[in-house]
Amino acid sequence: MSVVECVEVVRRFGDVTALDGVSFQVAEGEIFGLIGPNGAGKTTLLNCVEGLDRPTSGRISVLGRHPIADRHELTRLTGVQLQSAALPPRITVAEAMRLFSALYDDPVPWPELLTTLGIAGKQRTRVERLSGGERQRVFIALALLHEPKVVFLDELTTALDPQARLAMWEVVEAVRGRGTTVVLTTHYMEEAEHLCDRVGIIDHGRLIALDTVPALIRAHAGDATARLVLTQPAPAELAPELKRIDTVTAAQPDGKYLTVQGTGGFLQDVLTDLTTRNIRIADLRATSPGLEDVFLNLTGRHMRTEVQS
Amino acid sequence: MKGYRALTTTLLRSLLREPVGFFFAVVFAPVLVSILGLIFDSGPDPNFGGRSFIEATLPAFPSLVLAITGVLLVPVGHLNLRESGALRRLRLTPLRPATFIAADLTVNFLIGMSGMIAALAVGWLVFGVAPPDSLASVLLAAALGLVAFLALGYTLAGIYPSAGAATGIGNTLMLLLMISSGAFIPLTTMPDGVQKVMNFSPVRHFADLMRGLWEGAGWSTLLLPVGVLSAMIVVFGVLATALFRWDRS
Repeated sequence: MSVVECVEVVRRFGDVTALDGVSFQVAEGEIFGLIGPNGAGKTTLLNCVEGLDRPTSGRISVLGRHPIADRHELTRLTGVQLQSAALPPRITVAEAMRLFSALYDDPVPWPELLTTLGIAGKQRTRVERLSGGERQRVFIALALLHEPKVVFLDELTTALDPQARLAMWEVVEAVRGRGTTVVLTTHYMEEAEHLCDRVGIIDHGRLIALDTVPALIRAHAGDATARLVLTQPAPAELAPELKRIDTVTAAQPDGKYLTVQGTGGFLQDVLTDLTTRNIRIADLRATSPGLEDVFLNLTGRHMRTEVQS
Repeated sequence: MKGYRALTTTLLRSLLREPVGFFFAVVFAPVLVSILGLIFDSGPDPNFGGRSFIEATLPAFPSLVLAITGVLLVPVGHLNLRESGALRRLRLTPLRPATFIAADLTVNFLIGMSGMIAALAVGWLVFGVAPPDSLASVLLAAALGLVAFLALGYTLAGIYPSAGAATGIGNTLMLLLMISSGAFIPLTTMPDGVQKVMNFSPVRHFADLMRGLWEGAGWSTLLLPVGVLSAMIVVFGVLATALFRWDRS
């Protein structure tokens, strides 16, 4: 049985279609990632799965139950970390843990949970005085108190610095190690590449690709990528001209930035071509393909992550 | 029951650690009794039917607590919980909505009663106002009024568009209600026209009930204020239930 199953889920807000026929299944024990730019519909989808929102049409089941009709039963089986979560103001970490422990029948001992998450020393601190990463860990602890079968983590690491992000990845892997299925959303490609067994790419409310990371890269970004920064914006005719080179499969200018993909010695061919046009290069990075390239190839746009990889 | 106890404790802590709200709910009324008492209390006064200023106005002071709690503290507190997302997070636990409301009402009831009792105690202990024959009746009336205004507060929480608007509108409403309570200015000293308008203020009826019971009148002679407050509980109770929302939209 799938832990989460979505069939043709549509969610409209007035004229805006936030989710446009999304279907996917999450298997037990996997880390499933939903990736896409901000506003793609990831949070809307999670809200529907969590029973906070009702799809306009389509069917969702979580552990074989209906997210809204069986909400009360599901609160004991699922753990949720919301993108913008809050607690009653001015309470300490320990008070928050005690409150939520009292709401479940058989919670795990919360001091141990805080130790696992590395915030055992913060028990007496008020939640709003914690750093972003520490607060995030409190909400993860709250989501794990009742040992749920599946946890939903929405934009888990968005507010975190790189170091805290790495620590959070370890936490997620440890959670899965205990047998909990993890469904997360992120707009960091590295995060999805590092953590997720399978990834669904959402753009404009549609699920445009769904597979393991290596399979997605093989299918949609088999070529190597060179990211160039030019000293001045590329002339309009540059991209079509570059694509005429045999070894080049894609060329995508964006102001002074130029992304070129190809095979074999494409990079040398491109550089030679640019030299004959007297276009100078300020910076150059060549990478083997990743999810970023998958997204680029599928949509023709960059994901625009805040942190450059 | 475990959830109710834990939530009540948590919400109580959360509120008591907020100095402004705590001040207005619990400290403001007794402090005001003290200040006004020190300024105006100069023995028996023919303006007040031969009683002192504090004797004439003390029973009305608990109504200040009602006005503050009902139109300001309860809706603003509730809207803050809703807008911050705290309610949404609680909704994703096995907590029943009725348990949440029961805990929240308990907390606001306890705080409101403390404020009212403190105001009366100051008048009694500091300014020597004679205590009522039946303290139980007075406290019961205070509880009745408080429940009516908690229901009003929950209704307003469903109506106010945001916590910011709630603070603005609530402050204005609160001042109007306070003036109509007769605590600052005895109603009998006001012009006839103003007194007529004041008849529509629920706070005024609560003050009448308190004053009547304080002076030894029986419940049967105070059916109008009791009826007004009971009607408030029914009407606003129903409205509050219908308007209750966990989420912003």
